[in-house]
Amino acid sequence: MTDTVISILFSGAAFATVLYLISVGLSITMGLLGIANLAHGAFAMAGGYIAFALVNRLGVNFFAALLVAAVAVAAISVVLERLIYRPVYDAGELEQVLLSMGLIFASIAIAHFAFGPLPLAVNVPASLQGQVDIGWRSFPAYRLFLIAFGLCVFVTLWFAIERTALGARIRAAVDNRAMAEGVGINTRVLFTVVFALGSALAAVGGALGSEVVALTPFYPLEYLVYFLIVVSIGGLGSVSGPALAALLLGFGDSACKILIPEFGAFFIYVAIFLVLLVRPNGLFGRAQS
Amino acid sequence: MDQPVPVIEARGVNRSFGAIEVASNINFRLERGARHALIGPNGAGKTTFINLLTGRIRPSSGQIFLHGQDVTRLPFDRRVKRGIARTFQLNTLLRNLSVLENVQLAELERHGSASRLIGGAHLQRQAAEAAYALLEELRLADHANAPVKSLSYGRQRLVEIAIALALKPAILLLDEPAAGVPPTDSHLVFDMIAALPDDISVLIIEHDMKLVFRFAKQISVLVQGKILREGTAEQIAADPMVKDVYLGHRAHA
Amino acid sequence: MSLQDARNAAVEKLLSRRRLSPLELLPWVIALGVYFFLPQYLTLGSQILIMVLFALSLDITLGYAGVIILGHAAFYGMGAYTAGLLAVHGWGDPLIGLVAAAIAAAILGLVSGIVILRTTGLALLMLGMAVALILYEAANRLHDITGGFDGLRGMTIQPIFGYFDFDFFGKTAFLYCLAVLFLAWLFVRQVVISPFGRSLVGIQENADRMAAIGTPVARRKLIAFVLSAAIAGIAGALSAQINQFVSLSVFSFELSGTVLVMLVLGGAGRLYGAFVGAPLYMIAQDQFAKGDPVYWLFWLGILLIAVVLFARGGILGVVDAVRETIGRRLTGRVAVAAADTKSSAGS
Repeated sequence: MTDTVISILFSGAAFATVLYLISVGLSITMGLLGIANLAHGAFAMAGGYIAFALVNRLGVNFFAALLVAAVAVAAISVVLERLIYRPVYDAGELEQVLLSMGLIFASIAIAHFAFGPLPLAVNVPASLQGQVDIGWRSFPAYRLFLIAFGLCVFVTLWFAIERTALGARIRAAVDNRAMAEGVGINTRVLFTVVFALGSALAAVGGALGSEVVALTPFYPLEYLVYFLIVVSIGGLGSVSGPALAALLLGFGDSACKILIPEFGAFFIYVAIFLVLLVRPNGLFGRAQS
Repeated sequence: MDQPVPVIEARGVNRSFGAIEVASNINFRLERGARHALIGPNGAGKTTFINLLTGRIRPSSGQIFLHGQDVTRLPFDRRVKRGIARTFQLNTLLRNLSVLENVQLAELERHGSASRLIGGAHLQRQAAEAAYALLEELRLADHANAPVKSLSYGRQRLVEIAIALALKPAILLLDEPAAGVPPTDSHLVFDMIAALPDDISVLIIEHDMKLVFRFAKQISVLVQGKILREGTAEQIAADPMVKDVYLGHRAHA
Repeated sequence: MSLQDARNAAVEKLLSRRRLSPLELLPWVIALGVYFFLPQYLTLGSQILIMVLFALSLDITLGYAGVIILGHAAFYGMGAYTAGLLAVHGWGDPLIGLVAAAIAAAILGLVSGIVILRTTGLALLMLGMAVALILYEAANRLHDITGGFDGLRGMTIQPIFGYFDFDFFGKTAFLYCLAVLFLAWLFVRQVVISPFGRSLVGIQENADRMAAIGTPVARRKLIAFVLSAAIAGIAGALSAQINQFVSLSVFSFELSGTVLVMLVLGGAGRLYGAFVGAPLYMIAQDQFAKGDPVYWLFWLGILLIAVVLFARGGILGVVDAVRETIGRRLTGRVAVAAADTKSSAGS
């Protein structure tokens, strides 16, 4: 019994970490400009595949590959932001949804051409293979690392948003964009920076997480619902909301898979439905009037 | 002696957004056939008060009465059906639709035929003819088929009023009807307001004091969500406190 | 021009969208042409007609009421399973199946609409998706009834009116779909030109304005949503009856996305976007996806991005813009010619 509970918590936390890394950037960008960027998962997939190519095919060091993937995806995202997203900032939600669907389709096709249809994972470095014994039970070392990494990112982000000048600008722009612009914050530049950072984090999430969430060309579509759940339950424009939402979803998902696999994600969806019904701005979102 | 029932009345209305109180224990009566102006500095809560009267926002406490009936819980559109019409401070129009259709939709809604799914051709024609007649009165007929967005901002203000009049309201709430209208055209708006039928009760928010004193018989002064003074135009014009707080404030601005 | 004439002209212009233009008959001429001259395409043709109907239903909510819903497949799937299950259990009359499917989908639309239309933005997107996802998982779980992942089989569809049997070549099926689509089109056309339909356009333009003229905005949207759901249910039922098979994919996000893409490519809010977008999409898919479905997906993605960036109104929007430009050029030329005549007459 305790064993089951621990497995649920552990695999749930690993999944939650991946979801968090990928979704937190989406939460902030949506909070900043209200862009419904459904294609955010494509950045995670791109990061995963770049790391895969570097590590598995070229034998590059795992951590160096992570860095390269993050930088490369950030660069791609800035180009896309300038060329494709900027024209629809002031357009309706429908345009944003369609645009991101177009990006999802194209990214699926490109991934398929480059890496084929089979599920892939980035090789785990030798130092993180095997099990770690922590007294009464042993855990896979890599997943422990993953969870710890997620925690570090969360703490760093929290400090960055709450305690730095950039963070203060971001919070101001999320709260009231017009007022932020009024006091001289260049929200366009700010948004590009946040967009790039969010995409880089997603890339890291996709690469680090490929051991938990395998890379396939349909990745951006398959996990879209999960990313959106984290963002909508966590509340827009927040760092800690998505963390809590990702944990809830991670635990819920692994509990459902271990305890009642025959129901699939039925109860998750029902729960999401009920939550959004009562709190349309999410469980942890600030109430907006 | 019984007082006549006011067409619209607010009793002890409060409303706050977070820590900011935008309406604070407001008691207000609009009498039948009134020409009533609501004045006050920017941010005094004038538009909020109109939103409270129309049901666009709900009071935190207090009651709103329409023709003596409590309508505090009635939504905006149902109050419109009971005879309130308003214009917005910023043009709120169907920009891609023609001027004629903007007014025609209001006619259809007033006749209760806008919910018809099938047919309705003759109703649409009647409503369009009535709408056109109204546009003629307001000298907008030349623009009947033009999309609203192609009109100058000032003309769009007139369309706002035309739509409100198409509802044949008992109560008309005008939120800065001349705001954004070039000075050369503002007389168009005020001629139209001056010519409103006597049986319509009018509440107007306006900043231009000359226009207020020309038009209004009753004036309420709203400052920081509170009614500071209320009286006839002459009383308000002579009131030293109003001069100090409001008129003086404007002189500095 | 007298004042009276000016009034009549303005009113006529406003009401002109009610008049049937000959162009609006083009889809039906083409469909009959396919029936008589391209019999080898009848099977594909029936599938296209069903998707046109499905996209047409989405146009009511998306194009007219302006509600962005990413789970329209929920209603299609509801209709498909309703008609399919009826046919499996001995109620194989196709028309009864259609009516039952419409009612079931309408009820689902009413219940889900009351709930999800209260929200906006991301929550609305998510709730719309959640409805279809929940049904997907439920249908999968209830495999004793629905056949689950293997799909629902074993339907017996009776002849239409007890007389027109479904033949092996798909002739009856094609005409059946065509007739249903035609009736649905007549109905939807009536709705969008009606006072109700115009008030939906008004709500999409500016809901505050409509509330200020006394429009019960939420109720209008809900009615549109229910109508749209019912018609989507009929499309799903047609698909079940023609294919004698219902798979779980009727509830899939892919289907919701596909129908949205079809409508938007054609042009939403124009009534005929479905008639342009769905056939083009399905024919292109039929042609390009044969070789490599991924190749198709790539170009579809690029096309979607291009439509959003350069052609917001879809194909019909581009056609309108071109016609307008040509029209302006022509009137310009006429004006110049008129001025020329005048000046030459003066000299």
